[in-house]
Amino acid sequence: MRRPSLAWGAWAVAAATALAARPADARSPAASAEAAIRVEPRSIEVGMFYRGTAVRVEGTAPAGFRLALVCVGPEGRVELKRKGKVWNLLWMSVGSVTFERVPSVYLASVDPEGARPERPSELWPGLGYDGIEAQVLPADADEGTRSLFREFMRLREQERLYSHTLLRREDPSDEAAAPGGAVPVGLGRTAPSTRVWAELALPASAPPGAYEIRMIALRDGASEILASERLTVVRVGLARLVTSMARSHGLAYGILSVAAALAAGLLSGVLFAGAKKGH
Amino acid sequence: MDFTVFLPVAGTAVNVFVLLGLGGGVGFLSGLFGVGGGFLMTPLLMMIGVPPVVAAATDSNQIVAASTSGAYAHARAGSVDFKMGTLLFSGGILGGTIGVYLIKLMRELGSADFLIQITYVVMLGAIGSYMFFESLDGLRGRRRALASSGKPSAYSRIVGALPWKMEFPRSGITLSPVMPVVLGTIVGILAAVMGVGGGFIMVPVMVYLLRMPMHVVVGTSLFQILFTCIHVTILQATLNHAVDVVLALLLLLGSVVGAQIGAKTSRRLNADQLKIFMAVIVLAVMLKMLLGLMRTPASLVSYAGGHG
Repeated sequence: MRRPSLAWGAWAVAAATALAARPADARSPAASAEAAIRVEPRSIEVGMFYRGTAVRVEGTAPAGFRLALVCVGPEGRVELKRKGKVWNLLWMSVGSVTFERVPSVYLASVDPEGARPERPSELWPGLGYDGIEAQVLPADADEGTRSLFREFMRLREQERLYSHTLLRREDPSDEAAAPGGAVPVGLGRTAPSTRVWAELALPASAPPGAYEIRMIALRDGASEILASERLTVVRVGLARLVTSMARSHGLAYGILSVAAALAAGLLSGVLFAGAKKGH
Repeated sequence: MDFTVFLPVAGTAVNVFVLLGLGGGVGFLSGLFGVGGGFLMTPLLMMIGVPPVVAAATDSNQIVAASTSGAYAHARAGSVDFKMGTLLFSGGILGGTIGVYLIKLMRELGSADFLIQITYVVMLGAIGSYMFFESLDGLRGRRRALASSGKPSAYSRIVGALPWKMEFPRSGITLSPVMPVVLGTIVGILAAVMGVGGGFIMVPVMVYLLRMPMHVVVGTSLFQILFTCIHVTILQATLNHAVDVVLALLLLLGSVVGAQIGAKTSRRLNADQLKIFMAVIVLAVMLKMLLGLMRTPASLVSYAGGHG
């Protein structure tokens, strides 16, 4: 595995601090007063034809920061099977491992400044994943556990629940090109601001709950959450009814499911028998 | 037009036609061979993004539909031995309960997963090979002289010595009800330990140990699987909240049609043809499992839940 450079290491430490800290505690009053974030949509309704959504996040911050936009889903417990080699021949489950307080979703869109665009995800390993690791694993976790946790994060990447992309950025020097020029911030003041935006792809498998969208800034090796917004994912209609029945009335739901299956099986049997007679 | 549907309990979105196709294919096998098809459906559902525990639980629900459809078709054709099926199912319930406790004990002792998977591969290999060569001989017109030596085997002597002989007119055999109950219990234990429905073990048991005719075996196996899967579905819905009824309904739309076509096809094939196809599938599943165990996995972790 490629080692992150010293600069990215600084990002890792900074992002870990930012992930663990509550936004209100981590904000610098001066910077956060001039920062703003906008999320569209702020509420996602998951119905029977939902297949994922692109969440557009746009932020403004005082010039001079390197920025990241991060979407963090509700935390929970994850139980995994660990695979290993038995008799030096066969791969199979050799145990289980449980991780607590794992974010269900972690979509980070990071500043392209200084990044190698051809391999952005590899260049930004420290932004969020090291932070998640620091949050979930105890400081004295052994290398085996850490290695399993990284495997798990790769699994989440395959499921598109965790991702790293590059954000789009307009600096004050780009004012001529930027629509609207300098961005108004604070109480009617206009200051040179950097505008960043990204489209975070939230997959259909993202669970319902309260998400937090954060704008994280790094300057002189220190990290701060400049602004944050809530994003809500809720089930609606039939999707909500089925989920609620399955969780709250398991026995009735099970009997109904079996009844539906029996009815469908018998109906098809009768229809096919009828069709056979017809011929 | 987009044909994607959101599966509320699985928490993922899948194309409707993929689910109908999966249901149809597995339902066909179910109607043809009298197996539930869980060994095939669960990994396929996992491949399209359904969580393992939901895949296993929902699969049981759709097998209820497919086996109802298949068993109904076989019952109309007079190829279900209800008496034998009821005895096997009674043993299966007892064996399933013993198996659940056994697996708990094995997990406490460690290396349970290893034992389960190795047992599965060895059993599938042995059953598949025996069925393959036996039916090949049958197709070539050389039936193995099992009882032609004049001297009854130890197994035949034990079966003959069992009390309360009972007639099973549909299968054309007479034997003690102790046999199907004991064999049903053993299959139930193996099915619970291996985490599968047991059709793959039950069918050879009925053919080779109960000496039932192949066409009655398929229908009776479906009848027995139907009740096993009703039991499992209700348990999974109550304990794990893992049955996705939307997913099950879409799968069963395909599978009930597939099961009917399978049952129709099965009546057109002779017993040896059916057995040889079954043997090929059993051996293919065994090989797939063996390769899966030998190849380095894409990830060293997987979500807990689902079939072993």
